[in-house]
Amino acid sequence: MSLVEACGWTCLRSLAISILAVAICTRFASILSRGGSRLVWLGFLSPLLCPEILTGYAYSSFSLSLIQHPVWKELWYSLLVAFRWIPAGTLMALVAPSPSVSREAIHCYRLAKRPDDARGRHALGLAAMWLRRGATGTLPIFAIVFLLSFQEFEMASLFGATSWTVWLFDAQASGLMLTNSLASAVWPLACELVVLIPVWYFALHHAGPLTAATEFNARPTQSQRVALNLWVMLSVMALWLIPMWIVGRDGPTGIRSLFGAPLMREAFVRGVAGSLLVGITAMAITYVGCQWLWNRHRWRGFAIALCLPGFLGILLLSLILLFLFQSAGLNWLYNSPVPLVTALVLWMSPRALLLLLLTSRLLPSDSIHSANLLFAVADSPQRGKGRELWWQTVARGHVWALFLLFLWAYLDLTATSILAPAGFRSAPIELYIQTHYGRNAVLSVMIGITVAVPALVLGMVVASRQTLIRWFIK
Amino acid sequence: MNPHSNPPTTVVVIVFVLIATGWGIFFLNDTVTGSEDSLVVYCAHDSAFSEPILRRFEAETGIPIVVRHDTEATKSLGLVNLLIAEKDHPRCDVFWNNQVLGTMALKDENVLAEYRGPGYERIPSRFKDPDGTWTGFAARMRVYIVNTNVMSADEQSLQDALAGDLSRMAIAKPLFGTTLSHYSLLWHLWGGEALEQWHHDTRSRGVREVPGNAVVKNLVAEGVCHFGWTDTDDFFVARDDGLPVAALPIRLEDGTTICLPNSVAIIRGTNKLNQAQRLVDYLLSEQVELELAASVSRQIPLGPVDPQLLSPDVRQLSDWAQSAYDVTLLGGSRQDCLKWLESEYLR
Repeated sequence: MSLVEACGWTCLRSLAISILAVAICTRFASILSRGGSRLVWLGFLSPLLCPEILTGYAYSSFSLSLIQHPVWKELWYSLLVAFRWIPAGTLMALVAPSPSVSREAIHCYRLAKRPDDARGRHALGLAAMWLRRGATGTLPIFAIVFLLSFQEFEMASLFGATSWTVWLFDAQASGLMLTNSLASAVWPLACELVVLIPVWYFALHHAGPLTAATEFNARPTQSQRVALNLWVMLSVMALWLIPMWIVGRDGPTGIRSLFGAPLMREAFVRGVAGSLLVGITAMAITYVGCQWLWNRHRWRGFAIALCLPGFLGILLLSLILLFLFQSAGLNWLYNSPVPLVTALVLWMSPRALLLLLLTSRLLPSDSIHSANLLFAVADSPQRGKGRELWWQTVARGHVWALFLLFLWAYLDLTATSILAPAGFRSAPIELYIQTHYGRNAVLSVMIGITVAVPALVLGMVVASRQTLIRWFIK
Repeated sequence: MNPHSNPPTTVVVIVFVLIATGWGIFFLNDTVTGSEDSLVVYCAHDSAFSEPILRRFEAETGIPIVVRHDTEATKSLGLVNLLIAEKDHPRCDVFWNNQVLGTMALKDENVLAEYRGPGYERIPSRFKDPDGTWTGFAARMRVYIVNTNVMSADEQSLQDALAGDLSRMAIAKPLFGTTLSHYSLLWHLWGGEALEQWHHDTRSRGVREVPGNAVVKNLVAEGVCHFGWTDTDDFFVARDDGLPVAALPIRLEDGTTICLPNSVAIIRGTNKLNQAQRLVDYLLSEQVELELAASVSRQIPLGPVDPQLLSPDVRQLSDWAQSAYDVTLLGGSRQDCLKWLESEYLR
């Protein structure tokens, strides 16, 4: 299959998933914004936290067993991609600017029709208003789901699915020159730009202000709630419960084998430590950097420009940085963490910016005001309540955003395998070294531990929140 | 502090100091970037088998080693491509490849230095470069893996299966790994046109192409496919798991088999030549070949060893390897074959 064909196939799949996303994300966002329970929120967003290697590894045998049934294989892969990225579309529905044309405006336009107005002209005007309203409301959802599905690589590779990302990897592995790779990337980049440019245009010219979710004013029906709960149940089962069961059932044997092999155990522990370090470093630089730039209005253009390389995807970005850090001027940094951290920061910047917008969008000003009042009180228990309120309204969103960035960097495989210092180990690399021999008990345990470590880190942060808040608020 | 302002500078500074400390600890540990004396080894052989050998060398000689691992499953650039990319500023001293054709490509790129030590002398000439830029050791065979629940593991059954519909046969994508070596050998033997014709014929009869040899093994072991091409180390994983599989050597028209050795080479420009040579001789020793033969991957010793020290499985493989094709003849074929495969798969 040629790159154009692979690109077209990926594009078709991403289109189908994005259209589905447009149909359901606004409804899900409406239900969630009207007080979805904490459990439903957690379940709904959990696919975003799911490491691709967990899904890919757990289902690789099943997916490959569908080799004789390509249509079913394609549907299965597409379903998992949809489960994974539709929550991102829903988050986008919550954070996207309100449409500049409200329902009320359209209603007024209808009422303002005079008998002598040409029917066609009035209908055209009405259609334009609907288009502007629809485009500003749905394009960002469509775009984010399309881009994330379009750039998916690890599951596609483990399942043997058709994708331009796998094509490009194959080309690289067989020794394609960087210049040829970049030339090949023109097609996928063109597809991404076709989606991004209209979003940019409507965001700049037709978007309303970032206000609270005023558009979600219709009360969700019972059937919509059932649909959301069903979606949450299926996605959690497909992306977490079943893979964890597949991984966990080999646990006891795997633990014995892992602890019986000191060199393997030591390498894995070093890998986890390395991933933690890379994850924390890239997370801190990306988030602090993006926040710093975004909070200074004249630097916002630079912040957006900094996000552009992230759209190239991690493989191409890493190859470009490899080329740059091999050049004479930067070669002294080649065997240091700088190339790796740079790649991760650039790759995660668009996501960090989105998360920043999301956290700022979801800040309820009345609760913040209440927290401010409680801080002003001398009484210590009242201040404690203020701290808890501040955690729930302000800090929790940032902690989740930071955690997501940490997780993406922690689980990175591509940039680490290309740009890390010679003897550096990371957890995903140790896992992939083990996957050479297919599914085995040690690999299952290693995946379990790799997934458990970030959860443990998050648990520790949440448990020590009172102490952390005291750092921020005297 | 206002509750919704940015994090205070002191907190940001503390976080970054902690991060810097973490990296400092990592870098003080010589196994990350290595000290001045460390030997940097790029190793494509599985870490489970290579790591104990390299650590023992380190303990016996006192030469510290920094290892960068890679496997065919790793979604990376591949060590061969990385070595070519690093050609002008090499940081690797010794390359331990898990096969040989990629190493030959490095020779063509002028990445390798020559060395003919005692280790080189004990390996037969058909498994080493006459110029001394690389030396093969501890090999794998290319085999048919057969699911014994659905077909008999004998030559006749295979020939019958190969003559008809191939939708139950699996092979790894021939763009890389040992399947690329296999194709390169066929290119060398048959010529490009005949291979192209054969390739299109097998594809038109439905042969299943999958991401790697381990996947071929899984598909056959689970009965999704009935037979396929794989390597002996993958076959033994399935057999050790008690799955219903058997292996037959892939034989060429003249009866020769396909035996693909590991290879070791010194990178041109290394400033630790003495240490690199010691490691190369160590890897090419009888001791290391026997250790790799005793591992679960059952690598075949290529130099002289006491047969009594080999398991029955490895003795059987050694017999097959006696009639192996001369891999030193394949250098140019790999590049030509790869170029054609790129035109087929990466248009």
